[in-house]
Amino acid sequence: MNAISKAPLLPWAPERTGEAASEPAMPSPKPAAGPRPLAALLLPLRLAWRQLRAERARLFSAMAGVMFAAVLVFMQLGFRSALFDSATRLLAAMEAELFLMNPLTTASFRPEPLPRIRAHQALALPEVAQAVPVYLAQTTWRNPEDGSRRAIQMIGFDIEAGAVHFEGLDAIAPALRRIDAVGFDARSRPEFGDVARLFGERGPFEVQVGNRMVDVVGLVSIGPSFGADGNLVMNEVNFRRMVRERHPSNTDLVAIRLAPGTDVAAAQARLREILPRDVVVLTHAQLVAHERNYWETATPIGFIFAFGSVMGLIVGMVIVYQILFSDIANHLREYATLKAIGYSNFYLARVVMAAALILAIIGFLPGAALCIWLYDVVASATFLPLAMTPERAIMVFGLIFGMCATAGLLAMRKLRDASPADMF
Amino acid sequence: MGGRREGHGARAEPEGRTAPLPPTAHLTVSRGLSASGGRGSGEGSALPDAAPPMTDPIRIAGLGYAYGEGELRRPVLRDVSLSVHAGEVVLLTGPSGSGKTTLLTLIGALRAMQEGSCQVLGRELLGATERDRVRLRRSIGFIFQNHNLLGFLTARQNVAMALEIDAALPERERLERAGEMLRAVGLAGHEDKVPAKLSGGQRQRVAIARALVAGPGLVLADEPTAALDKVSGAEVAHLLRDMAKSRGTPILMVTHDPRILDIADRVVAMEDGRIVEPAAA
Repeated sequence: MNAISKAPLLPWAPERTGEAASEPAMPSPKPAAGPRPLAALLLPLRLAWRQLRAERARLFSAMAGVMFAAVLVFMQLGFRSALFDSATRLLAAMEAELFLMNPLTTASFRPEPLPRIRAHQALALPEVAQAVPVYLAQTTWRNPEDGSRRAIQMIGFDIEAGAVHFEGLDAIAPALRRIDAVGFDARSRPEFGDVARLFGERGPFEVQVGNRMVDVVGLVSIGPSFGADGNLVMNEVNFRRMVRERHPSNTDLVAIRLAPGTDVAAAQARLREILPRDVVVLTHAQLVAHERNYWETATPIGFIFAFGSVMGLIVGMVIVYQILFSDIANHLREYATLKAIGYSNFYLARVVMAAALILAIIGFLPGAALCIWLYDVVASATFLPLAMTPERAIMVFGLIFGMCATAGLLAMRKLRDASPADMF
Repeated sequence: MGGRREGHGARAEPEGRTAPLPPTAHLTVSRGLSASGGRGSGEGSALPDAAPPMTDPIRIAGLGYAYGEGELRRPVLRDVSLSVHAGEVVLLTGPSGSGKTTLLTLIGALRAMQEGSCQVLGRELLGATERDRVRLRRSIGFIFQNHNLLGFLTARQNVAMALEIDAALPERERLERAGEMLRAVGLAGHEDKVPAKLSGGQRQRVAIARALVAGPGLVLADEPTAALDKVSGAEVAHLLRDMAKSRGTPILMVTHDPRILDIADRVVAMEDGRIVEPAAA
């Protein structure tokens, strides 16, 4: 009853004022305007972290689960993009702004021919500086070490025109002008023989390509792709000498270099106007995208890796769900108590989501670190261009976070079982 | 009176955690006051809401409650009427199944009302939404049969959990108030132990500190001494009574324990869903 006499305004104020009086030294609180919404997010995060931290074994198994999912997704996406990159590597190396291609060509390793005359027609436009025919064909290469034969990609073009550029090409360009001279892609698969070593030992040497003996006069660096395990570059004239069955008036691709400062889109539109419909006019990006699209849609490769990624995410999600679910189930009384003392369902949901976020982060970071190393290992074993890119890291983190959040949302349903009415 | 109550409710509402944006200015003002005046400290910052004066913290009339549906419907409370006055310590006794725990969960806003009227701290619970009930629970201190402390938090952090609902409260103040309350329940020196390192009586003291730290308008306790031995049970009961009395907080306690009847201002006996002994002492 003393409450009433003490506090005419608030009957339950005395205990508060009494408390305040008992600790007059309490520092004056800072204005809470700023940290308030932040605190509403950080407090559940802290509670979630304290709860996760309390059970180390479970935390580590959760971490391992998320890490596993992260590694799996990283590897799948890494392979996927490495294969697509390698598939388009040849075209990506070309430095022209516009390309002419037969509309029926699906992929560069299997080109449909187009009339060579289109290159000359393109020169009718004043903004076209160069139009260079590029010849593509596959033939066989006899391994100079053991004599075995293997399919190899040939790329022929006017080396001096500068429309196509590979690493190391400039150094051997003069040598490639000689009759039957070829440049070998030093990054080709090892099944072609250790040409780089042989070249280092002997200098230029003879190998059999198709049914003809040619001279390896130097090394370039392109890299194998889906379509080709190795590459040979040569001058246009040598290409025609080696591939006899081709009609000389046909080519496979025309690389067009524009005068400096030309609007590429406008030039593309004008070329489209003046050229017959038996060619398509593509920008460099469109050409690469066309090639990539072939591998993504016309082969099961894109699907396989997407499927692998999804499997990894599902496994990770199940693990995280198990962890979160058992965390809730084991702490039902505590959760119910928190509800009883005034925490809302929404607040506890935030605790669960915060736990999911924490698991996503602590699983992702070691997973990403492990993958940087694994990429190195795999790249040296498969000759595929595998490397960690910031875009992929962000994307995988997004996927892992989504995975953990989904697991959190599923586990959250268990919160309903935390009924404060059953506490008494 | 009614008008005043509403005004109060409206003022209290923005201070609750659920409406974080608009009240910041308001809060800053009351904090400013507390910095100069000292008295306002609790008033502005932590107490989520409070009832108008001169109203009994608990007023129940014609309350009925049944579990189950249709043929399985089993009434557990029939026409219960009960008032607990400000600052009063009321013990609720009766055989198991007499409905006293159900009554306690209804008063504690842990369960939705079915019929009758139940006003707790000036709020009518009949037809109250889940949101209303969650908000009301913040001004009630709960003490359970088991301590129900969070095992992964220290005693001080457990007590501070009752203050974390108010995200605007600075962390330091939260911990200071929690420590203060732990010393008040005689646990000085045990603040940083986890519940597993405390005895049963000590844990229940932590639970008492947690129930009282936010300055509740009402304390509800369900057999808080049941899990304790005779000595620590009596100690805990008297501690709870003394703490509540010194703060003017009313207590409604369900108990079977005849040893602690002496803490009561009034004992209410229940049987078969009815109050059979409305007045006694």
